[in-house]
Amino acid sequence: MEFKDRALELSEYIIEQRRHLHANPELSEKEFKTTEHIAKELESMGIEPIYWDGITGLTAEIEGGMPGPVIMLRADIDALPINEPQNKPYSSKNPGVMHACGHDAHTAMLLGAAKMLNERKNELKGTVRLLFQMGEETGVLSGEYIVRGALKGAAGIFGMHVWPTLDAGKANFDYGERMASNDRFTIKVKGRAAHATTPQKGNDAVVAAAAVVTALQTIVARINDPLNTLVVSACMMNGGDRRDVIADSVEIVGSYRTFNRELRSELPKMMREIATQAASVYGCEVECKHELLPSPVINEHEDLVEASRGAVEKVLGPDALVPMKRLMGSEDFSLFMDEIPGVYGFLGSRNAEKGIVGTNHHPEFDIDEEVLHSGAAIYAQFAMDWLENKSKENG
Amino acid sequence: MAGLNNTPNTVSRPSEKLGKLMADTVLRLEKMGIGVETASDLSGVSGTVSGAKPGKTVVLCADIYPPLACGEEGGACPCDNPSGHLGSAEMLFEAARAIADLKESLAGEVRFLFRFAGTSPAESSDCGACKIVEGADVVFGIGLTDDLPVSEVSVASGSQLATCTDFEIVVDGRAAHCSAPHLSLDVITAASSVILNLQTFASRNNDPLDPFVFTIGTVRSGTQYNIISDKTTMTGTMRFTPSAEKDADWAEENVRRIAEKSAEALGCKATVTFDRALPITDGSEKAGETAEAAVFDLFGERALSEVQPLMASRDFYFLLEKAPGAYAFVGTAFEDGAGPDADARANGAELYTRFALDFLSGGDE
Repeated sequence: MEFKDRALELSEYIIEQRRHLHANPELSEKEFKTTEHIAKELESMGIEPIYWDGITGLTAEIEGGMPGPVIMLRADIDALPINEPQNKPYSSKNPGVMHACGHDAHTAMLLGAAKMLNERKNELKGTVRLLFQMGEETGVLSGEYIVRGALKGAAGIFGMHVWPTLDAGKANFDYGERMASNDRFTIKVKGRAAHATTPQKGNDAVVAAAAVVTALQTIVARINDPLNTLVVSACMMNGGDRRDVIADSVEIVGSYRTFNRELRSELPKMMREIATQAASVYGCEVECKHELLPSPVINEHEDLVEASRGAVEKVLGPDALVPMKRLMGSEDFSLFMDEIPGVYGFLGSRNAEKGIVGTNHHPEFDIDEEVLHSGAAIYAQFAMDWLENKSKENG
Repeated sequence: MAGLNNTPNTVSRPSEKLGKLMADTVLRLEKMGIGVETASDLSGVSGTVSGAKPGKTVVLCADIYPPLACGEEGGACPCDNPSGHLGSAEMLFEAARAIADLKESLAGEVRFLFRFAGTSPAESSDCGACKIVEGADVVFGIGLTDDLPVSEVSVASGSQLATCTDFEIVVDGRAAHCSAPHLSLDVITAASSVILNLQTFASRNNDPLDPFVFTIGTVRSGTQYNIISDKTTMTGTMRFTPSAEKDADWAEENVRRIAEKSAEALGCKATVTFDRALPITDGSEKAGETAEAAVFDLFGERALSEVQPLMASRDFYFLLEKAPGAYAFVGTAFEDGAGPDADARANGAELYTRFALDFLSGGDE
């Protein structure tokens, strides 16, 4: 039986899984019961969970009947600090915590895929490694699995997101830049304090910080190639203790996002130079700090993208693949893509007829549950087909 | 007397250092045989010498900056010369000793007010220390300044004092995720433009012959690194010597224009509120004349400086809302830089004493 048809049979199970997870959401790094639940489900299928030292989430392996490479399927499992309205039978039972980004759906779909792949493991030409990843919402915790060796021996990794602006029945696995990087910067402007009435005796960090913020605008407007998408946002500016004392320190904190790896690597130096010079006009100095968070998500491995697109067409039909604009949002799946070849796509979950139009990270977010079985089938179909293609290549 | 009671430490607990400073102040005045009261809000300590005969009431005032406000414990020092504040207080102790000795021949009452400047209770016209000035005929304060040579004194009364207006500028915009700047109205960018454009007030709107200073001391905006902030709050202060053409209205109109238009240019909205000090000016002229005459008599005609330093302590304005008064700046600067400030202190102590005695013996207006 095709995965598509078997998934339809399993639809009730997958929806039930999603609703259980949705009603019991847990925040990043605190997915204890979620991890326990996933493990229990996998064990009931005869799949052994593998835990990683000191972190939640887990991996599991489905070893095929024939030798071959290891392909990874990833679902994230954490929820958000959002209070969900109690208007559904499966609304969150944890006040202030909600699966408002569809990770419950990802987990349920991967459980469905695990069941189907396990049923047909004799046909697999290699190994499927499942990764139920904690802490995606933090933007960096995927790296915890990398340092612990969870990617060891894997030849590729596949991930996807239910997407609230894409209609149910559609999907997107375009080539190229898909999601932006997101790095945090901190610029500390340091001046010299003096009484408010003797500016000649101080170096005003408030004025210098204003000049730094203004100068930072020119990175996007004047320095960057306008064809390179770039956002530099100063989101916090705090300094000074008293209204009648010239401030000796102001801290500017913000984020910059781009799809371009080269530009991203140049930004710390670029920002430091601009901030240093802008502040120096006012006799102030700067200290710059950059924290690299998610890299850009770029689909650039043909074998992975083609297998994904093929799986979507088999499951949802030949017209299911639709174009979608790049997203300025970020995804820590990119850290896996920095390590091994990866592909990332989007599964439509919007259904205006059913009134399901809420966007993610919003209390009204929901998904059309009819897409869950398709998502499970796409996971499974991709793994089966990619391993098959590899075995032919190596034939 | 409203706002005062006889025991320190009854309403709020002072810091250890402030507590010690208060206790020392009380002890020193008591040793001179002067009755002491402590403001219930711990904003100051006052001693009173009542003459044998009835008469007017003079308040002599000095700031004591507690160590905390002077940066010794890591905070920013609001002054250039922390010892200068203690210097003002030392001068007033000297004057208190001299006036207490003359008690029997005195007509009227002299109050010695030591204000714990820079502490929050002292920064209000409702402060306990301010209340002691209510009903007095005059209030006179002295500050030390290295803007003047040690042989010079500058006097300003009531309306001649540099005007002091505190302000708050709030810039409102619209929050958005940092990846979607086009959906935001970015208040940090707008506030930066406001800050930079406001520099042109001193450089372009003000007559270069008139001293003017405008400072934004604090800026607060944003709580998360990845959410574009929707509100920036800035506080600051401006000081200048007012004239017929340039009053507090003139200054406020300029600040409001620059802030509002700059924010508006970037799609945001600036709201400016002002807190203007309003000294009582009726009767202040007499205070100024008395102080100037005392300077002439004590140090000679050439000692009176025309330089009017921009008022360093806003706290004194709160006293001027209660009674007419004058303020003198006593120079501490030596030609070869820093020198012993004993000379300056002696000058200040003499000036305090002379002012009080002259004012009390000045007869009816």
